[in-house]
Amino acid sequence: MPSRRSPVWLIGRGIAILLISGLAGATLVRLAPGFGVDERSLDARFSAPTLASIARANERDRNPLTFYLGFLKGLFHGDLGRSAVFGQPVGPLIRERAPTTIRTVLEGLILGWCAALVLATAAAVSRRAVVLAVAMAFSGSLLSIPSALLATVCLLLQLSPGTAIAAVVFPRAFPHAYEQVRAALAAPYVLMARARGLARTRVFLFHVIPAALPPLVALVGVSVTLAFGASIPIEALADSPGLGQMAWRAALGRDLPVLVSVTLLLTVIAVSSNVAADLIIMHLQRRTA
Amino acid sequence: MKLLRKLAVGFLVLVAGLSLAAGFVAPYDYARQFRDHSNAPPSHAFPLGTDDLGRDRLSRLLAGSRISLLCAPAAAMAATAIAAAIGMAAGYFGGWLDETATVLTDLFLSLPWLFVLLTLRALLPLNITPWASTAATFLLLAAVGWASGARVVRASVAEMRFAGSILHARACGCSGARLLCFHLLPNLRPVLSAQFWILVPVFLLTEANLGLLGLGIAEPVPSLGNLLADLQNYQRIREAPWMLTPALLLFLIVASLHFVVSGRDTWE
Repeated sequence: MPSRRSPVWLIGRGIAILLISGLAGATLVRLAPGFGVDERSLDARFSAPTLASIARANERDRNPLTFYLGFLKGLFHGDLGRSAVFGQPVGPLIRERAPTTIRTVLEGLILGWCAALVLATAAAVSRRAVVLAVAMAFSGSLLSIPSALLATVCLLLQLSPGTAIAAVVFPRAFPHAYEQVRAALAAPYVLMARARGLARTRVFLFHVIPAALPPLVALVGVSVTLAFGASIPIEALADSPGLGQMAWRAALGRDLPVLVSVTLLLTVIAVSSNVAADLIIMHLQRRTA
Repeated sequence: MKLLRKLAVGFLVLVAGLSLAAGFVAPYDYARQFRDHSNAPPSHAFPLGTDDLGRDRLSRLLAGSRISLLCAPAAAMAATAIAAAIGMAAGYFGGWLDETATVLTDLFLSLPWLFVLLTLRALLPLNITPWASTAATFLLLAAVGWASGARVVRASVAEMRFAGSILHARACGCSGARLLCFHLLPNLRPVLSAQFWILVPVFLLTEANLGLLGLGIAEPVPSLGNLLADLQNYQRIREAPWMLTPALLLFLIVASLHFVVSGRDTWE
């Protein structure tokens, strides 16, 4: 059996999580109110054999195992069902809207992480209590505001939805970034490097950053899930035509095929980013070892 | 900092006291409508003005904070109990139970919370009563929010399993259930307490997000979340800034909770 820290284990665990999510998604669709009810059965234009054929097709779906297998098969072929709210297949809907969300989330992640790293470095290097207190107060305040409210504030200030996502990511990233940079700056080999007269920039780039990086990479993986989660209220309020807004409208219209498909897609993204983060950490740790 | 922490505790006690006594303190019933005074600005009769339906904002704010401040801790307690049960079983028994619990925990940690909540919320019937929607919203929060706690509990139990006292109790013939309930659980109290206090502000914020999107507690029952739904019409904020009072109260409650409980080291 592979060790818990081996790449095979990490990828296998990721695949197991995705399969379980798929089954959970199929169960939710199966349990949805109105599942198996076909409005064609009320259409007087259909003949008795056609109606019987429709009933037989629906009966197949009533068997949970057949339904699960069909659902997973459909997923692999890109058939995600049909949206009741949007009146079109879910696959093209997702393809149409995903770029907007990915762009917004990427913008938010880059902005949030850059702000967190710059402020954390400034606070750790300057060692001034005022700088740290201001940064912590700012981060703590953002942590106490719901993301939907952050979106409203960004709209009032005419800022992009990506800024609201950055405001969600920043307070989660900043304390960890600060702790890692501070710990790396206080490490004995960094003190030794400084005592030997190495330039500050050189010490920071080649000794502090490599030591602080692995735990932060793990946090990037987590922040991807966070950023996608925050995209729902932010896109809904900012009227940005992405997956978040689509999920919100689907939730209001109880459109389960859309909700399950979007949740599964985001689980794939979250699991992939976590596995990638774990693999990068392993690589970095091997290099530093 | 000690003074600030005391102020935060004082504020939380004051808000909890006022919201619990909402029935006596609030000027009107939260659902009473004054049709001639819809969207009224703050006045002597309506200190925080009225909403679109002419309901007193102050009365709704007091009643809403009572519901949120009672239900969020209740949901956090339920989530902590689930985390304790799963984490203890996984950490103590190990083997396939541990593997299954780990995969389940990883699954829940990988899922985007709000998307899952929206999906589960969509499964509820349309004609659900306001009180049932209140219970459902917070039960869903509890059902989704246990995973990080379970991971922490599992790690603590796995470590405690080989502690001298536990090995001694096992050698004396103590059964597994008794060990879990009377020896491990009391030692887990600090971990469980920390998990509980971490979850309370998280649930308050999540309920606020759902409420602002119109997917939280159903009208006319107020909560800190659904009182924020007015902010969807954000263009009105400039002319009626008192609409922000629920948002301000929520911010102060969550910031005080962070400050007093989980984030005190961070803030310092």
